[in-house]
Amino acid sequence: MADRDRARAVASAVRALSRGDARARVLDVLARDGDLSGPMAAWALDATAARYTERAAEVCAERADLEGRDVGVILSASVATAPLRAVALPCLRGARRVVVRPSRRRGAFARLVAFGFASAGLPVAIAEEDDPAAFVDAARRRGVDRIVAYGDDETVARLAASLPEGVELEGYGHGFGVAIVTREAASSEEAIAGVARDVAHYDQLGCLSPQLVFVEGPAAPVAAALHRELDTLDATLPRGPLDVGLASRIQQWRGACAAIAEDFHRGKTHAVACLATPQFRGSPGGRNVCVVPVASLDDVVELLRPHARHLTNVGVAGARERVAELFAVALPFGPRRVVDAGAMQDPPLDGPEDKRPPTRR
Amino acid sequence: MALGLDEAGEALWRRVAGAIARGLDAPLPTAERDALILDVFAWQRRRSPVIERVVRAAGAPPRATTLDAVTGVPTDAFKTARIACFDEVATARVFKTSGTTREVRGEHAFADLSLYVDAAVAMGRRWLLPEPHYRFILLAEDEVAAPHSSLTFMLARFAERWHVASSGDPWMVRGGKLDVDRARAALAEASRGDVPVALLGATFAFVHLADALAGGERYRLPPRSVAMPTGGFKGRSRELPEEELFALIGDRFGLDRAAVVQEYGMTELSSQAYEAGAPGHYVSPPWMVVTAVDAETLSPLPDGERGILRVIDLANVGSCVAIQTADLGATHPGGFRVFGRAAGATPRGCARAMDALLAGDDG
Repeated sequence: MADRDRARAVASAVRALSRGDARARVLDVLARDGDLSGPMAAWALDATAARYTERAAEVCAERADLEGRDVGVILSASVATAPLRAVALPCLRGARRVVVRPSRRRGAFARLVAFGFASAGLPVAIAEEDDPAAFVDAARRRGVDRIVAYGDDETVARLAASLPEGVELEGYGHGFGVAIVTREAASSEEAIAGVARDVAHYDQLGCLSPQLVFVEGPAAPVAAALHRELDTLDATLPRGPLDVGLASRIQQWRGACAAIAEDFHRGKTHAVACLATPQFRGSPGGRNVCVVPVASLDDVVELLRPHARHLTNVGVAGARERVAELFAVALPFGPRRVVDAGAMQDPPLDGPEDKRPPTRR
Repeated sequence: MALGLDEAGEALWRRVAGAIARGLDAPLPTAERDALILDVFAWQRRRSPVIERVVRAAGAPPRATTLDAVTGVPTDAFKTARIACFDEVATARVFKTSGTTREVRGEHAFADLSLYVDAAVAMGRRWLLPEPHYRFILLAEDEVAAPHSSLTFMLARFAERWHVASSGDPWMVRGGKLDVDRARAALAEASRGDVPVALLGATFAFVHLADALAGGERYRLPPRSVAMPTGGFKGRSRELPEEELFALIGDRFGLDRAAVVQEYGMTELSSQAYEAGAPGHYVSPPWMVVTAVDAETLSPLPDGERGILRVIDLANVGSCVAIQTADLGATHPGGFRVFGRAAGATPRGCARAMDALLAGDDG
């Protein structure tokens, strides 16, 4: 299949999944796979599908670096829409055959994607093997020579150590994002609303989601504004259901943060802890976030430095270019994406979502 | 006694001490106990701005008038702030949660440990050590090596009361390592005698000892001997299901399941509950109230329904009387069950880094 034909087929398959008869079923599956509310599932599908224009797909297809290869894709339980890009990319890159092993726990959307792509004439199939090791064995027997795996770092490392000779690995491990509000935007409600959208999208459970918010200067007004914006968003993009483990982790996080917070804002489904001193304090997800004051962006760099290899994405309210320039120099192994606040969950179709280089073997 | 409390706190401390002194068989009437809990909780909220902030953040009403409205302080708050209602200078002892050197450890400070001791001894005597004397074999470090371990503190107080001193030093862990040879010698000698053995300590140390005896070495401890593995594996030994652990203990030490006692306690509490009646069923002392609550709303759940456990422990009068745990459990008439740490199914996948970061580990 030529580059342009592959691009057209992918764009057409995505259109078919996001519109018409399939849409209701896809939305239902996305909500269940991702523990998302109905409106959030709809937003996720529409925002994701919008990236699959024929032109964007063509640019990806021109890379054609998997031409003639048989590729196995191992998916993890991640944000609900992630399987779409994970399956689309090897197709666009020219793979002769793509065999997909969906997540055991959250695999329904991946199955719909594979079926939809196959219906559009793309060479995609679902593996019968559930266990990753069995999948790799079977894939090898069927001639697969490249495994693209998504999961946490430990899973990717285990896979790398166990792959048979002759099979290459392209592994994508775990990560997280942060948001930064620079001085220029500290009083901009519009900019803070962008941060709130980034926190709310996918209920803060994706690797591109901001897990904390740094504020250049006083944090309290930003924390209060973020709380208000999250309250507003709860009406239009309500949070999905919590399982008992996540709910419990959130209770523990709230207790730990409230004990040291200058201000603690508790919404119907979210919480914003305004800390008094610069520090790195992660989040359990589910729209719970610390707002951390820093004197300058250099402080942010120092706080992020120990975690730079896992930093995927930075959303900036304010001086994005200033942040991008500083991070490019100070955190060379840090984030590949530095975007405007509100766009953290809208990565262009230009490679893997977080654009970090994969683990290769 | 320097409690470091204000006048109201000292009065409450005396009321709590009186309640615990009544023991297990003549407890305060429930209404009186509940009133005491509400008084202590209200005083702690006034006395500690940290506690007030934490419980308000969890949605507590300005004033609790029923036990259902007594909001627990999450155990993780002990990792970030001092949860105490006495002056810091009065601190006599700090117990710390276990964890790796890279993990943040929770700290529970005490100005006075007499309530802790009274509570532990009363429950220990009833559910673990009913005999007048035992030969102790302790799979733990002593208080000099582990001054911040609440388990070691409790075992030391038990040993003071029950251990037959002539049988030698009961502590079998030195420099962080189980002294298998000494444990072997103690087990062999104990097996030849008729003084019941109390084989108590960290679960992972039980596994290490049992594994060291894997070559067919077996002991038959005297009748009325007991074993209590506690505290979990903590990544320090291979992990095995509960029933396999009990079978292993039975095989190596000749103890049947009824002789293996489980305890439910934690650094953030001052009292313990014990397994009693049926495997996996725990009973708490009358000054402790265990409730399963909805993990999201923190509303109490009816008997039999699974939620996360909230523990009210009056012996925590110096810190925080209500603790919100991360343990999944359910209550039943007369006690409660524990199903382990509440684990979730929510996809974290690519964002799993945060779980490591929350545990203080992103090396």
